[in-house]
Amino acid sequence: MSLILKRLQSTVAETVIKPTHKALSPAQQAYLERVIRVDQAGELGANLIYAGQYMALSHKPELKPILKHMWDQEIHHHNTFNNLQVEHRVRPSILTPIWKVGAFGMGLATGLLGKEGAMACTEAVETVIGGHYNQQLRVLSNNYGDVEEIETGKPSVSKQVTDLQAQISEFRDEELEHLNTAVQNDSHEARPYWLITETIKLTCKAAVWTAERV
Amino acid sequence: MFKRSIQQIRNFHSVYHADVPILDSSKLEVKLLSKAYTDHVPKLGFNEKSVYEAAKDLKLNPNNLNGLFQFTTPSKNLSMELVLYHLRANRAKLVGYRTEANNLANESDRIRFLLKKRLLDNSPVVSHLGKALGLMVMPSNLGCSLDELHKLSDDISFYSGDRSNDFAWYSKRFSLSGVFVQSELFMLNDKSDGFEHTIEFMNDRVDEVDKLAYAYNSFEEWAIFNAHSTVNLIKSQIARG
Ligand SMILES: [Fe+2]
Ligand SMILES: [Fe+2]
Repeated sequence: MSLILKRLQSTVAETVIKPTHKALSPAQQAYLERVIRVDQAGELGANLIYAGQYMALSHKPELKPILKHMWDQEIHHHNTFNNLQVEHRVRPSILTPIWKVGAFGMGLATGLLGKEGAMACTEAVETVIGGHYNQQLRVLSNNYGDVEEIETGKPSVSKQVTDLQAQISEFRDEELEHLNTAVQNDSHEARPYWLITETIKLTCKAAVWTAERV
Repeated sequence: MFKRSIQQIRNFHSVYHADVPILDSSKLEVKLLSKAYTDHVPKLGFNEKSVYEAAKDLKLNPNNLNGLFQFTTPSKNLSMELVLYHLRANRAKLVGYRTEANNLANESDRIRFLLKKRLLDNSPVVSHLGKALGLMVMPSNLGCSLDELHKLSDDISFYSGDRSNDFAWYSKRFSLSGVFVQSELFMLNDKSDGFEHTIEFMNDRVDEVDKLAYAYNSFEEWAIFNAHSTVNLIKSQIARG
């Protein structure tokens, strides 16, 4: 039997939770689906950026624990969105092979520039991702209050949406921590700072736009 | 076409929200198609005649049928509506096999079990399946047919416990679709008892997919291993220089 299948041998967990709300509208579903797809791709990218940086820089004892801590958090983010993607039957971004190679390469390249390069990369990535998560939280809190409860017929926000909001804001806070860590570790000393950070920000925005769609 | 079928398919699932049913049996046209499919298609085939007969059974005016369907369905073709009903009803039936599938030890066995059930559910209409496939691949119907095919693979993957998060998600579904279509074509000429040759054929195809998935995974591991040693090489070169 294949490795892929072997990894997944555990029996299928059956859901015991009963639905509390009527079906979401197609537009609401579509947006949730997009959120899960793009965030999964983003956290996959983050995970691999740190994998690349770690590969380039783990020989420096003062950096190793800092990178490891942030990397572990990204692995947790990534796993969380992987589970959400599977449970909600969301199709992952078809470009995952490209995100893997690109993110790993970006981490590796900035890591090979040295500590400051890696930190400038983190700063740029987290700036974009922090803003992106905030944008999602705004949409979630504005557009999901009109779904009727099955028992009472009253419109309210379902646990589906509040759980996702809680998850995203927790991750947003951790991304901002990473941003602070990067600044404290001399991200601004990277040369050419402006070129590195702006290029990476643009790349991230383009990747987000693409991963939302395909 | 490809883009459309990838983007429009929505199987979003939330435990906190009610699911939208595959077929809404409260709708008149669904009742009519159901009657036609169960009582008349096995004898008369996927054609307007079956629907007319069902309309008579249900005391509807058969001359009004085109009106009913033209305004509510995209295909505007009664035979194709019957084929789509066949696809959707049999896909919906898979939900009922989930508990039994869950008793099987691994994902591959669950996939084989569900594919087998789905193929055997073709039995009552198998003599008309060739014509149905012919309708499905007509240019005007191909989009709907591919959507349904993908949804079938997606349902089977989900019910059998697929947890893939990357490109494997696509490989798995595309391969399952391929296995299913090939097995159905095989089934058209299968005269064996209980379609055992078709089931055997299907199992061989799933074996091939399992091997392919193994190759994909090993390739990724190999690539990561190589990246590691390349970087170490670069690092050692830098340290020396
Ligand atoms: Fe993250
Ligand atoms: Fe982060």
